[in-house]
Amino acid sequence: MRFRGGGFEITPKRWFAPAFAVVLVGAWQAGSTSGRIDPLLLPGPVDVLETLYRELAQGDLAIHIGQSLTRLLLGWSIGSLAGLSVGLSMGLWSWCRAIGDAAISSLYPIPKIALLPLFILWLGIGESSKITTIALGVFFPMAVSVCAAVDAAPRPFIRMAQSFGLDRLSIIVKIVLPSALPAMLACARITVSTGLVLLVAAEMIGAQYGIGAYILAAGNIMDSEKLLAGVLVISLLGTCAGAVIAALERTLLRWR
Amino acid sequence: MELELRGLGHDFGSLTVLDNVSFAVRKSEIVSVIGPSGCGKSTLLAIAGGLIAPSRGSAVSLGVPPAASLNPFTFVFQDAGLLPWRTVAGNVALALEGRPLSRKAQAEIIEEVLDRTGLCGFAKAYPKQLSGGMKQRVGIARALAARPAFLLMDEPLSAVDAQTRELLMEEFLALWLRDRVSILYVTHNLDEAVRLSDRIVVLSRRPGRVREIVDVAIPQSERRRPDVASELSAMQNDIWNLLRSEARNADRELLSLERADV
Ligand SMILES: Nc1ncnc2c1ncn2[C@@H]1O[C@H](COP(=O)(O)OP(=O)(O)OP(=O)(O)O)[C@@H](O)[C@H]1O
Ligand SMILES: [Mg+2]
Repeated sequence: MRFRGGGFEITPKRWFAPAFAVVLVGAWQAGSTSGRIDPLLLPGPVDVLETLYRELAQGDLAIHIGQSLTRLLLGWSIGSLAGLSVGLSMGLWSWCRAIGDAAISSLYPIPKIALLPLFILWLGIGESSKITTIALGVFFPMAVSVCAAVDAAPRPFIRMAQSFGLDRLSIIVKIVLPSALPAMLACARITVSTGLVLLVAAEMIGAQYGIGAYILAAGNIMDSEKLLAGVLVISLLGTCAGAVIAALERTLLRWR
Repeated sequence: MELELRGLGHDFGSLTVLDNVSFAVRKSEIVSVIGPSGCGKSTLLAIAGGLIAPSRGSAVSLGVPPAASLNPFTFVFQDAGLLPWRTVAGNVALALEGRPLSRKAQAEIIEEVLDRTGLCGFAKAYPKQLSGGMKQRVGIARALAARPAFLLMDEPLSAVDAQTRELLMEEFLALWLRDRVSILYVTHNLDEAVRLSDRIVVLSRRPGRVREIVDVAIPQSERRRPDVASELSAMQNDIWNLLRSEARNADRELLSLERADV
């Protein structure tokens, strides 16, 4: 019989991604070495790496990264926690749902960075205005997805728990939250990149230190090597955050 | 514990699902409820177990539950109702949480019920690693852990294959012979009904009314005897005819409706 199954299954192909990256970066390097690519517009990968190393060892890139990480961590955690609690309340109580639905549908579409000037007016140019912007950007998707996940918590499980006499709080902790966990982690993945976008944008608008400020400064003096080194740092930050969440998924969702 | 259903009726919005259902489950009895799909059997069970408030009539429990009982009226669900993020032991533990029991006492009860249901080596397994029959055993183990005085079972064997069903039925009877709790047992399966129950309540199609209550006046111990087997299958036949006439009536009504349309 001719094989016709397989069901579109995705199998892990270990070497494809590294090989693809090597080919791409190799072509880039070849273009730079041969002089086909203008180094002012796009410096070669080796130069960028060298710059990154030099900046980390001697310059104050480490301070920039430290500042950015603090802002991202604070903003993201505050936004996620707030989103979690609001989403949970909206999923559990009808009056929270009524208010929350209206508030979210009118506020969610506002690009959060547009509010930064307002926050600067309220909170000053310091850290709190940037952290608030990031937190707000993370808050909405988290609230929406947690609310939907609570809605989708299987009713038969809740009934089962009630039939064993569990009280409301136990049912929330033991049934509703665990069944919402996969959606929460999936959302965390998305909000990390939302947070990164807002972080860089906020730092470009007004910050002395921070990876966004660093990139902007490099751009202003047309130092494209430093600029790309900064972009590389952001990409690495995002990748690391993704890896942390993937590890969390592996340990917390082992049962799947 | 005993349970009396008195003139039970229930509506979901404008849909009447149950109408004037009355019967009782006495001490140590197994009573089956059988009827066409959608006639309100699951609803009836949920009302009996206090998960749905009936629109009319009442479900009254009689007697005092034994002091050791953690959850006098305990359900066993059709699909076992196991939490996928908990291990077998964790799922059984759900029946014990929030009760005044020490960790050690909990662990002992879990071990005991897993032992009784033949799940000893699987305490740390997750539901996705179990077969349908084993999941159902976990559902039964969880129910037993709550030390029930009355079991409410909603098609507990309908999701398993015929062989597993035979096996589970025997195991189940052995468990029942030990504890003698009263059982209200909803099923689609006539064989299960006549093999397990003392009485069989046959419901009409929706809205479910009591069509007939069949007494299976044969002791459990004799039901496997060949000469009794024919008696049981005659009984099965009678009930089958009843159910079929229910279905025919439904068809006839449909036909007359169609004629009225023309
Ligand atoms: N929560 C609900 N809201 C509205 N209608 C419902 C609800 N639960 C059940 N029903 C309806 O009530 C009727 C009886 O449902 P029930 O589940 O009790 O039937 P059943 O006899 O258990 O059926 P089956 O044999 O298929 O399990 C069905 O028509 C169903 O659509
Ligand atoms: Mg049902």
